Amino acid sequence: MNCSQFEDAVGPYLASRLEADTLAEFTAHSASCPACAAVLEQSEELRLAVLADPVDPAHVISAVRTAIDPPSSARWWLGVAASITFAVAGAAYWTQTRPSPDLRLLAAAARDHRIEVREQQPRHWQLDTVGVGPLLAAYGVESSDLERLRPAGFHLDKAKQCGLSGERVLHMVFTDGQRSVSVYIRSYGARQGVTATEEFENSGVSEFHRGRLSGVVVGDNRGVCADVVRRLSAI
Amino acid sequence: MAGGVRQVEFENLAIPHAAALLRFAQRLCGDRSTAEDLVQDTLLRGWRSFGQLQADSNPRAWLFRILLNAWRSEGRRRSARPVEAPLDRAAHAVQTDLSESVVVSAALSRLSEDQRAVLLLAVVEGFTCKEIASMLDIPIGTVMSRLGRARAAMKESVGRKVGTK
Repeated sequence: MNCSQFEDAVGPYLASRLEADTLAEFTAHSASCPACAAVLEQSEELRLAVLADPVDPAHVISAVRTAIDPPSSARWWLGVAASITFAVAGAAYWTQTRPSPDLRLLAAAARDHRIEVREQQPRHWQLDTVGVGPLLAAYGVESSDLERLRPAGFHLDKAKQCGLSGERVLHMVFTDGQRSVSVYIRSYGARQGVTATEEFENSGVSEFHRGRLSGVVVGDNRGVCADVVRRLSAI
Repeated sequence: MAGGVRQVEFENLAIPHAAALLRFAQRLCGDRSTAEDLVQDTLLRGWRSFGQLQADSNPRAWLFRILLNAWRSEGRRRSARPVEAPLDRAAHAVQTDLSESVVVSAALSRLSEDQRAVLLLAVVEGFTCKEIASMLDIPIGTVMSRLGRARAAMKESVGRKVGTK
């Protein structure tokens, strides 16, 4: 890495965007070039000074949501009718005018699958039996469950714990070498059934609650997801 | 349901960048009200063109590009007010040893709009010169020269090196 390349990498470095190999070159150059080390130090001062100014986009986000999805007259009348009929009118109207929490969970799972599996951003995966076994046991996943979840020709590639919509879940990745399926196992789930497959981030996504297992399936495409869903529905 | 799904997908992609967009817009426009209008316009433009976003695109860069286009196309330059922290405040800050953030803010406000945009995109938002060139539709050499001039100007304003050598 030369000084010009270093200078271009300063911003990505401060934003933690450098890949591992570039990061090593960047660090080595910084240690051997006092002038570039000064560039880094002073750029960081500038960045921190700008970031010190608090910003609150809540007002903007609210205005954008209203512009994108204004409460229609039909929804308004639905809310009024519900208020007459049910004591839970407020809740009914709320569900008519805001995205379902389940959709948010599916969207979060699809995003996580894109970043961690399709884009393969570095994460602390458990890759062997010694590491994966206790994780599966902690979420009540047995070997027979793996057979039910695994699409034909796929094998369990890796697993880890992660956060999904504020909940700790077990993230398992099955692959056939080319395609991947993420299965997120939640710690609880009362309703039984498998939802229709939605599409987020160009992936097929379904939520399921079958027997002891509850979670979300994300396939690289709808077909792969549907394969797992069919297996779950047959349980 | 389809509209709801699309909106949720858009929000998951765009809302996490709203604070960064607003922070950048405030430094670019010079006042909070104009910045909020600009970011709102940016997100609505993004929503309208969301279907054209490629799966492998960088959504953050895509949103910043929309913001810069919105800023230019709507002529906000003409109505822009001076950036907060005027020059005399900078001088006063140096004399009275006020916080470095005030000094840096004042120095930023003295940069030309083009230089300020490039410096903020590179150092604060973490984009490479190539990414910035793509956002602004200008040659990468122009980005590098603007960045160099911005750093030199910051050095002169602050009285010592800021992101330069």
